[in-house]
Amino acid sequence: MARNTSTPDDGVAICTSQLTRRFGDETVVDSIDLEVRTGELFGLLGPNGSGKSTTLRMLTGLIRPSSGDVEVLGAEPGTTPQRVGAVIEEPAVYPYLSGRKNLELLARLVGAGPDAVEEQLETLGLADAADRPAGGYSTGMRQRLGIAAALVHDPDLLLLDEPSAGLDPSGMVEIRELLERLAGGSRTIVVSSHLLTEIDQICDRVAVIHHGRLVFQGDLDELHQGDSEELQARLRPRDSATKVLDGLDIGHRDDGDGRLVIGAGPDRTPEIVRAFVDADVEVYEIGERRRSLEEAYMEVTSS
Amino acid sequence: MIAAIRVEYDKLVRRPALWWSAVAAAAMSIVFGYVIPYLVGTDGADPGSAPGEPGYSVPLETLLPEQLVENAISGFPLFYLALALVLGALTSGSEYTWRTIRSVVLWGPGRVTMLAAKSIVLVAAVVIVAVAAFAAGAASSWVIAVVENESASPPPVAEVLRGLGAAWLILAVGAVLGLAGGVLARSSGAVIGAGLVYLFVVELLLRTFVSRSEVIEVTAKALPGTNAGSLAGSFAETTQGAPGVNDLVGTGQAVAVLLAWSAAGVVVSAAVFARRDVHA
Repeated sequence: MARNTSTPDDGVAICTSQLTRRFGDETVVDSIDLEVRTGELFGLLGPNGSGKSTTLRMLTGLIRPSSGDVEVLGAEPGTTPQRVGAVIEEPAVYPYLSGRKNLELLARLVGAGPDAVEEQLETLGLADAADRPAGGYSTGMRQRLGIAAALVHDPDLLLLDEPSAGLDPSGMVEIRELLERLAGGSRTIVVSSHLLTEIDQICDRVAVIHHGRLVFQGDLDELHQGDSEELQARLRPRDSATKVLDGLDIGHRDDGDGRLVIGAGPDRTPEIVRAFVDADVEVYEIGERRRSLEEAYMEVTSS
Repeated sequence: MIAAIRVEYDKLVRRPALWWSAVAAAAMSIVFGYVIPYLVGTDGADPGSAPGEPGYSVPLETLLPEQLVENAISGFPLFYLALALVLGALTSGSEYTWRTIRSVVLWGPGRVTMLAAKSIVLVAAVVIVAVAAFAAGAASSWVIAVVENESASPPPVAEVLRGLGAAWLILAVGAVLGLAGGVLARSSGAVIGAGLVYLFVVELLLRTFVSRSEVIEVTAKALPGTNAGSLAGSFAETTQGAPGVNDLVGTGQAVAVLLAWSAAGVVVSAAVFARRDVHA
């Protein structure tokens, strides 16, 4: 199944080519070409039902592609459990076993020792509840236990599907900080989420999946920047500024946050600034407009 | 493989269902094997009557320690086989219900290895159920012997071991078929329901028509319940009337067919589990 598209040393942790998964007549993942580089914190964005979880399931070997190629750490998915840690959808636990025992069993399968178990229980804030049956854990505690299990063998690749699901705001911040600490070096982290701010705060590069198709893949800055050329400025007085822009025949609108969005590219910045100065408009800030991730997301998914 | 077996062992021995199965086997052995027959009467008024008929009684000697194996094994072809099937279905089906099947696949050394480890541990663990039933029977028969002032001498060790071996084989078949059903159905509830109906209705009904049709006879002789009944029947001349116990096939064929069913259960479930997507 796997095509020889990457090796562990070529800087590519995950590589898919025309990855497709159909369930009956429905194509849930449609010809996705994904490339995740070694050591990056990669975000998989998309609404619920867009195909993110199915993609992650194929990357872990839980389900097989209908067609296309996929390679994870230079091997077929599911063949290197010692190097991959994953939390797919909500974490599963043996309810009659304690949190510690749940973790110990999985650790044993991947050759991790008791010290690693204790370390992860401590890191994820589960040490006090470790001897309680996991069936009585809250959703947030189960989520932490799932992440602890994914980390217990210090994997090279971490695949996390909606890691903040079920967590309260402080828990979400803790997970975000944990991921930032874990990232870097040779460890690659792929985080799937429909929470744009979460991805915006932690990821280097993102892929946006919509209706099973890959509609964007690249740097977050690139997504923020987009194709449209716009400037953003803080000016005073506003009336005089808009008159200047009208005089230059340049479109404008308010961004709702006290700034003026100017319909011109950065190459026209000197001309516009000169016109403002000539008209006694005070320029406090002007520069290329960076779209919010929400705006960028809406644009790429609607096109 | 060793790590997988250790993990599956840890999961199963900590699971209450295993110990409840042993407790249920012991309780059934005491109640149905000794208490009820003793209360029904052991005066020998009409030993020829069938259970439930007026005048039915149980010869006292069948309740004494010397006939432990004969008495204890009569419950295995139906009741304990069903118990093992439930345990097997719970062992694999719960992995889907709890969605831990994902962890098994993600962390495990391979799907077939994990399933093989689970099967090995399950087959080994049902020995506990067999021993519980025999131990409870031994204790009950000793009490009756003391109360009735009869001989409390035990049966030969070799016979006990042979009986335990047969009991274990019967339980192993039930457990493996339950495990396979859990994998195929991806749940335990449906398998338990269908399995119990099959054992208590379908097989028993089929066996009542054996004498009327050659096709039914051949079919019945290939089924796990019939062969389990014949294996138990090979120990128990005086308990031939016990539910599920029969003399339709010889001991050699019974053992061979039961082993074949066990192997088929493992192979089919491994083949399906190895290829099928995990959606849990």
